[in-house]
Amino acid sequence: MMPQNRAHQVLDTVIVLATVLLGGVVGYVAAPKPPAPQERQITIRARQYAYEPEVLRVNKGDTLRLRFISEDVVHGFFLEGYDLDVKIFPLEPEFEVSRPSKPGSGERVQEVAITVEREGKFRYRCSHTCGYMHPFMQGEMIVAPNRLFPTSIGMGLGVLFGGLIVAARKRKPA
Amino acid sequence: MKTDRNLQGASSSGSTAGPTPSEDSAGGRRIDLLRLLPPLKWFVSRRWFQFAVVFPTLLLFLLFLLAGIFGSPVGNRNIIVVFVWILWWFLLISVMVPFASRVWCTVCPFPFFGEWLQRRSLVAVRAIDPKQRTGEESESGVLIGRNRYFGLNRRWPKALSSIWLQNIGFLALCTFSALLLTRPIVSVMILGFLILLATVLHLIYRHRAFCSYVCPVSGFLSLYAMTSMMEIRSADTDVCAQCGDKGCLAGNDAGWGCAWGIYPSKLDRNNYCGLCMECVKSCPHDNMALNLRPFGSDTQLKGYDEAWKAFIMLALALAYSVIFLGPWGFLKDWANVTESKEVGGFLLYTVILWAGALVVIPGIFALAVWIGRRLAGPHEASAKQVFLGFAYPLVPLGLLVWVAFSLPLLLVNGSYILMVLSDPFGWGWNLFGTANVAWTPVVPQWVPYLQVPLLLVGLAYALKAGWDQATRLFGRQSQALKAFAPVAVVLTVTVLYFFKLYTG
Amino acid sequence: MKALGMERAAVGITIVGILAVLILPFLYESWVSRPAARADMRVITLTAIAETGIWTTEEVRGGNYFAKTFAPARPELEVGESVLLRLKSADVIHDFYCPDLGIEPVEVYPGVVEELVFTPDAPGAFDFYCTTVCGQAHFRMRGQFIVRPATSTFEDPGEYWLAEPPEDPSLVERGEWLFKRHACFSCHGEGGHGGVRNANYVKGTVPALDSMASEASLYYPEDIEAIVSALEKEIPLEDLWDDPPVPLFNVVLAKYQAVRELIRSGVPAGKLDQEGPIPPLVMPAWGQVLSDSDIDALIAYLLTLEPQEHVAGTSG
Repeated sequence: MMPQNRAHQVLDTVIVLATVLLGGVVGYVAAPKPPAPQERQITIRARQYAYEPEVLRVNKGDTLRLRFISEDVVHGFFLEGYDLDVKIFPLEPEFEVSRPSKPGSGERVQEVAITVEREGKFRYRCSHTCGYMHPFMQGEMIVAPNRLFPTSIGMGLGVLFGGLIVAARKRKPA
Repeated sequence: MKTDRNLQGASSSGSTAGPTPSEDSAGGRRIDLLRLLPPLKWFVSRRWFQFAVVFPTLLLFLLFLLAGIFGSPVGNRNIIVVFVWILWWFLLISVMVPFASRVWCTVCPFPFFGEWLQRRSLVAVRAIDPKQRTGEESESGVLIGRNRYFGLNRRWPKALSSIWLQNIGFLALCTFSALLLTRPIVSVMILGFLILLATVLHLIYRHRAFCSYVCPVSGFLSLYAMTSMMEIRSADTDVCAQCGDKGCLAGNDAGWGCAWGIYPSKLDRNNYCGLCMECVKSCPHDNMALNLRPFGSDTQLKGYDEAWKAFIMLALALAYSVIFLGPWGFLKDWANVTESKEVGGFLLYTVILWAGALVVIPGIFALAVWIGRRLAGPHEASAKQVFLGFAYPLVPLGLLVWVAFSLPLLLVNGSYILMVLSDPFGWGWNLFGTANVAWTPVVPQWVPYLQVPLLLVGLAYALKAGWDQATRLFGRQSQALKAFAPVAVVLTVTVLYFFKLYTG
Repeated sequence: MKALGMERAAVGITIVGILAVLILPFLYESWVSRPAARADMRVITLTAIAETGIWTTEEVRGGNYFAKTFAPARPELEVGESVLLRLKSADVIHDFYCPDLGIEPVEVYPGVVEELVFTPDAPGAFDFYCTTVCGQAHFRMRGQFIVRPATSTFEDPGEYWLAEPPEDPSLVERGEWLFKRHACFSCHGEGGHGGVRNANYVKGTVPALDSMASEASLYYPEDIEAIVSALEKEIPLEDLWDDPPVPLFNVVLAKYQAVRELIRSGVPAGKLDQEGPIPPLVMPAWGQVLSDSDIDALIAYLLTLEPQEHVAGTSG
């Protein structure tokens, strides 16, 4: 390989990395600022094989007072990133809340409150085998501003534009 | 036939450098593992190599079938579901294919019985040495080259000699994936049927017809193996040109002819080579090389069947990300038809899936290609060449999309692997003490942060690959840019949509 | 064909390997996983099925779960028998609860086997339930343990009619053999303790024969011994009238004569309700097959029987 080509390659890569980074920063910064935190009371219903609400949109800093109802069998509610696991019994006013990081910490309550300090997309999944489609039973909690999303969009566009720039550069013949 | 490849942005076919020990004739870097690792060379040269690596997977496979029939009907507590659809699937798409091409085919148990019958041997070779023929051979069976095979050994029908059967088969399988991935007995029926079919086909058609033309796994392995960092090629094709034996294709005392019906000297893509290592054994000049190579080295799609495979895989990745990894329950109900009884929804989902995979996505793509060609003005390359050339970027992109998709399956449900190791049948065993491990997702909240870089890398590779195709197909750089731009946009928008699904 | 030895080895390994994989799981399940130490326990496996709302003792497997309609379980147990209960779920979370047998709710998780041991101590029918809502059919999920009383008064006597007579027996030993050989136990109970119901019989059940000695006013072992030895020496008891070997000899003689006549000629069973059916169990006329000395042997044996202690609630 000719040294010029290698230098070209390296510069190409640097250009693309730069545009990706730039796109990411733009996306990150352009994310709309979420409104002030508030308290919400949310009842989550579980059935074979979905939750209601399927998508939960909240803002960073919100306090969520969660209640759970199951419409058919015992379901779980495992919230990623929040160390929260709930066991929901049908037709019972209480559900069992536990912290996966502390096994055996379950207690029966009628409501559990969490404060969503972390932004992003956190899926909630069923954690107790509830039938065939159990492994695919999940919903999404999106905590605004969820900057990973616009950042990734920006980076994706950065790849495209970086590629355009690289392609447009004059090339010395090999 | 040398592949036209272009790593440096220079046009024209092939570089001016001649073959060196660390470069192939197309100018890419290659490291021959067989020279680098003599124990590996020794191992793959044994007659018992194939048996040694296939037999254990056969035993595992039989165990899985037993578990599916006699074990618990609960999918996530049955080894067949957990090991096949979580562990094996993840390893296949994320480890085996990117790093080792079709190495799964090397160990796959499906052809075990069929090939045993066809060759009438497990390890030995049946070959006729021309110098010792007495003219009185009366052995039954069909002579192909110097090897004698049992069975009809018919030629596979020309009309079916593409991967279309596999495209349709894979789509059909995936239409029922909600049932296949969750009910042990369905996995037994499908996998059991496939091994039976393979055995039957070995008795009717020559070589590994099932593997080459029917197996649904083979279909997508063939496409994504193009990106793999490993390949088998002849080390020096000049040696092949002067070789009178051609044992790699005709067979000889040292080995059977290629079970995939390929002439190894002409092997220039990974697509249809199953890495069975027979050619390594039968080559009298020790001229086969097992090379490490850069990611994404095979860059030429040779038929619409292959391009459509890429569309189908993309459509399925989209569909699965929406249906299985998404929050929308009604879609899962549609897919889960035998339990939800929503036949109307299932039919709608089937129609959308098939239309999307076979018509809509290819249609959008074709439109982008057409626009690009119009923008580029007059050019020599044919419509087919441009279409196939610009479809190629979907191969590295598709692979990385599938890796990104499979990641949460493993991280979230990987703990089931530990459970079924100790209790494969769900009978209450505890062989290794891990039967009661709690379901423990592993850093699931970080999964989107892993998926984004994977998809970005996939997009980067795809755009780079597409650009290389563009400069190969179109003379002038500005022309190439205009031609590729619409497709580049489509590829980018696709990835952005996956970002929406995974992170937004 | 080159490398024949290697080929044969490969074939051998293949056959052995495949057979091993097909057989070992079942061997492990029978011999290791459910240890033989539990051989003295009754093992009952109940599998919960949510769709139809049943507990079943039938085996629920991947291969039959969809194809088969399973029967609800009503396992039959015996009082005092140790039971190993294995609980499984074929689909979702269930809870097993059998309050009347003292079994607290046990969560049955799909794919996991819960085991518990219990021993029923009273006969009856004991319901068990599922106490976690497991689907639409949940409220139907109920089964029963049927616990039978432990003691059964009948033990299979085997092929009694082939019993060999004892060699050189005493009169009592011959009588004991005759009691078995002619199956007197089948109506009068093992050891003559009685108890077999005779429909519409005035006494209800076939009389016990174990109180013969006291009914004959032979209260002391030496008195019984005196009568038995007289019979052994083939002395007609009537001849002892002048020099009775036991007190209340008149009662003894009367009883002896009555019993002898009864065995010799048989007697139909008296009706409790005159309008009702004839009681089916009739004392046969054994004189048709037994000689007088056989009958004396039987009587001698019966005089040595002692009544069982009566436990409240058992018949006899």
